[in-house]
Amino acid sequence: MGNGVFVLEGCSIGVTRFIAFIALICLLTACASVQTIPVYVEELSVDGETIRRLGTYEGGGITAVYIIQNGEGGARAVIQAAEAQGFNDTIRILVLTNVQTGLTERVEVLEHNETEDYGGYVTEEWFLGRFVGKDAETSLRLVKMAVKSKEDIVAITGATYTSQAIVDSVNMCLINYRRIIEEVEL
Amino acid sequence: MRKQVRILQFLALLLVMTLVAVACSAPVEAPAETGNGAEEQPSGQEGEKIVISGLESTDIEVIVEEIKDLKSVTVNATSVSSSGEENQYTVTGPIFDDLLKKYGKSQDDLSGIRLVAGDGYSIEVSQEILQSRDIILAHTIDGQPLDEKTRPIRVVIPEERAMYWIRNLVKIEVLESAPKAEVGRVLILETLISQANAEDYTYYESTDKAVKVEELLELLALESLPDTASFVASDGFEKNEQLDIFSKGYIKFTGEDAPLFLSPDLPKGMHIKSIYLCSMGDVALVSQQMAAEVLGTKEVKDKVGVDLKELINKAGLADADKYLLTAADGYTVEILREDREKGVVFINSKGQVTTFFEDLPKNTQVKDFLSIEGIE
Repeated sequence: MGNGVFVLEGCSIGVTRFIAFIALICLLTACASVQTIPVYVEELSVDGETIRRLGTYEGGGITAVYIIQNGEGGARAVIQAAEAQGFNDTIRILVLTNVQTGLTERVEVLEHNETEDYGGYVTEEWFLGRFVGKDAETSLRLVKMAVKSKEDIVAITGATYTSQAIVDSVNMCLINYRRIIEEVEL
Repeated sequence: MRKQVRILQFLALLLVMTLVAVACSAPVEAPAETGNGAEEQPSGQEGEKIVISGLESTDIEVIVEEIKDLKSVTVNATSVSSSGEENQYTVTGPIFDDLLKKYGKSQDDLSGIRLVAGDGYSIEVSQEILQSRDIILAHTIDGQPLDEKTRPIRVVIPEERAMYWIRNLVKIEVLESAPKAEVGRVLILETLISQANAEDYTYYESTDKAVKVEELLELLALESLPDTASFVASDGFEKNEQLDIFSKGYIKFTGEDAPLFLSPDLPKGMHIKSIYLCSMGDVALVSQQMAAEVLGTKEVKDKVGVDLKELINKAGLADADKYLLTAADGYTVEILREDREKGVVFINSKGQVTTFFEDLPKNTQVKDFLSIEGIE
């Protein structure tokens, strides 16, 4: 140990530089981590728009919240990533809500491991399209046969559990969206 | 000097640790979970039971561990789904016949069994299958214990469709043999359905039309309800379903797979696609459209439809000297036994199921043809 201390003392300037270098790397890594915007979010913005992350509105089943701002700085959309337990595994989804209209504009499934002939239909446009144009002020309700009111979402035939997971996670995003709209100056 | 160096080193180390902590706590989106992430579930839990009913005067509760203690077989078996997809598995478990031997019975003694899963899915296994196949009560598949949704037992019937391979077996009902009733009346499914109230039924991407089976049964006004309904699909698939399950469902009559028996509360595996024939006691329902697919069509004086004689024979209608044809509006007409083969059942330009008989008076053209029955 004594030798170690001696060596350190003998090379104190070099060691200090080494530590400073490591610190710089860590700083850069930390900054890079903060700035990372997933591709699936970037793809939903257009030229001239900026993307801002709202980390304080993440938590629970909401794994990420972003605001897309237009060139003038006004908010165009809120994008949220959320997850819920499907039949087989966790399902991760994305919900884009249009700030101007207050309607859901897009719901995507980012990842799932549902059974092909059952919940595997969860990525089909005909199912995800059922969420488009829904008022963010109203939570959605899963039904099994046919739509009877505007908040109804018809389950995928034979995949009620998976469908319920998607409805639950979209509702989580809608509730969070309402909180954001109320509390954040967009 | 040494002290200053140590302070410097300490400060640098503190800075590094702080930055590392910041980096780790930055709001980076968590990576997606892959796999189930859960620990492997045991294939059975202590005390799990399977109920066997109908074998003795009272239900028998069999501890799953007792089943596992029976001599196991390991076989390679292929499951074929309703869409034709094939999957091969290596399954291990005792055969049902060995379990029956413990109670002094054999599969050959049984006229049918119903396998019931924990989620309510059930399927009847016919006497024909019981007499020709081994039924494996699998506890291990591909060398792995069953997962949580499949345990304690998965039934595997090699060479039979995947619908028999039920997971999470909770009950085996031994069925009594019932003499098959002679069919006294054949009804056209499309016409019967047109008398009921249609509801929207979303099936995958399309919104189709369906009617409640309960309403159809009311229209049939059966004197007594049988325990089961027997189905034949256009692809030859046959299935029996308990009437109390059937009566709570719907028949979807437009769109893909119609006529389709389904219910929002039934597992998809219990749906019956492209129903050609449904027999309940002494009544048989026949779909004209599916009959055209199964039996083919013939042309009589530019009317293309199903041969009436073949249609009623395949439905099992008893022979009679005369037959009474009835329309949905109550109109009736009689034909003679020898006139059956002159008849064709077709869909007219208004979409109504209609009869036409070569060389018979026009009054035998029954629009909205509902039923035919033998009269003496």
